[in-house]
Amino acid sequence: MAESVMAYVLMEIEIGKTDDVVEHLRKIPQATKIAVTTGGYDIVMLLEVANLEELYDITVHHIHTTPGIKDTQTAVVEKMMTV
Amino acid sequence: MSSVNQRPVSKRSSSTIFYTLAIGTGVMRTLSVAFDTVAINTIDIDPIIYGFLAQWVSFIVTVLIVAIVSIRQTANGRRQSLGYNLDPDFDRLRILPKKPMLYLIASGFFAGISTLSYYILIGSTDASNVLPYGQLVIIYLLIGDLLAEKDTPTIIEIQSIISILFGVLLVGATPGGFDIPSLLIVLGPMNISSAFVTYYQRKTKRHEIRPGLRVDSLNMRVWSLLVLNSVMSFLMLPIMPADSWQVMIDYFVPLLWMMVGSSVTIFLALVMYARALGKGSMSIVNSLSAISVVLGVPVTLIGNALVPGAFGIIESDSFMWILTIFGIVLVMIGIVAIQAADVRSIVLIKVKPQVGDILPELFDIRGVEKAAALAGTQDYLLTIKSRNLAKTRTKILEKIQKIRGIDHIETLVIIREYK
Repeated sequence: MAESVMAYVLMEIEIGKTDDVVEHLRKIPQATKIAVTTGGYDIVMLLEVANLEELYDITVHHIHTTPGIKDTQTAVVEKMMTV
Repeated sequence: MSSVNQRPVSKRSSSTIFYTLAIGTGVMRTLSVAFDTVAINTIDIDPIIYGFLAQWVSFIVTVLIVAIVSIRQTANGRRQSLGYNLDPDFDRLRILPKKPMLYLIASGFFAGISTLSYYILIGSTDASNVLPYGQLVIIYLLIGDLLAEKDTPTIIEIQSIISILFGVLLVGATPGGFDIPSLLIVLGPMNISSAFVTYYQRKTKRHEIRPGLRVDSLNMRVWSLLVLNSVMSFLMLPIMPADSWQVMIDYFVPLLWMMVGSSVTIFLALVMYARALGKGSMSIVNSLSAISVVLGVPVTLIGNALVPGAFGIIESDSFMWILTIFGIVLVMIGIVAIQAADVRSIVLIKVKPQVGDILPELFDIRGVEKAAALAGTQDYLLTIKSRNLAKTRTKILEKIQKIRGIDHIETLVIIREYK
């Protein structure tokens, strides 16, 4: 079954590193949306992956190794309603 | 039909597909109008008779396409229809449930009036005029929103309304003054009806047939086209010449390829628009697809150079062309300004223990584009859109706060977005 998993990754970024982190994140093909935000989190990224294994690979090997990211919170989407 | 979370991930770049779809929508719209213009100008036929014939051919073509894409195939281990690639909510040609069907009947009714206006106009002008005329609907949608929300307009809204209105007036200018009958049709039935069409189509698209499943754009097109054609035919029959049926029989074959061309391109425009909306924000899709307003000019000029007279009567006065181009630029600026002014935010919501599912309630709030239920510290994430930050608070956040069971709300304003 070809089911996909969507997850939001909420990130806190070190001061002055936002552009570098965004450039790094844009190279992730599964990143369907990256938003630079004001507030408690600096970047919110929407990932669309084939399965949880792929999500693990992206978070551990791509996001956690990106210089400039202070903290992340990954929230798997259980259900989504969109226009 | 398939639920959203069953959709496979595309291997192609998401942004490439998105921009191709959004610009493709505008290109297809232009081609569709070009086919109609060529048909009316190359074969000396009354636009009303052509409209009657073309719309019913369009219905047959659409039903055939939707029937073909209803054929099922096995892909990645699961059975799905060919139309899944056009719209992931599509399963097969089917009668829709009562509520979305009623919305489509309302949408089709107004689309019938708007389409009749279109065929009256296309007989007296060319693609470079008709395409900007169609954009006036944005003004009515804006005014409708402002009235519905008892809201005061922002400066950007006023600027866009004036820009689009003046642009349409300039496009409608002739050496002898303004083309009053055309402008009355454009300002009246054509675009007021289009605003209602958009309103009811939005309602249809937001209707959830069952959890995770929405009305697909292909079935929407089939059923709204049936109502559209019925209403349009009812209005056309009294004004059609007595020999209309004979004219239709005589010209059916020579006109066929152009009617099929027009039907296929408008069908593709609708499907591409629906798919683009699924991949990106409505504001960017609308801005990019508005390229049709500009494309009307080169299509008319190049087309007429290749087949003289086929793409409408070309105005020989260069001053009139300058006015038309000014008008098109004003319409384009108005559209892009209103779309670019949108403020988008992400809202993170935590709920109190033992609160049921509030996802549908959150999604029903006007301005909420995307609502997701999450596993983790946060319970819900919303993507919201409004004209400015003040409206984000008054029109959306205050409504979210009124929902029972919400413990904590955090709003993150998007200052830059990548797709």
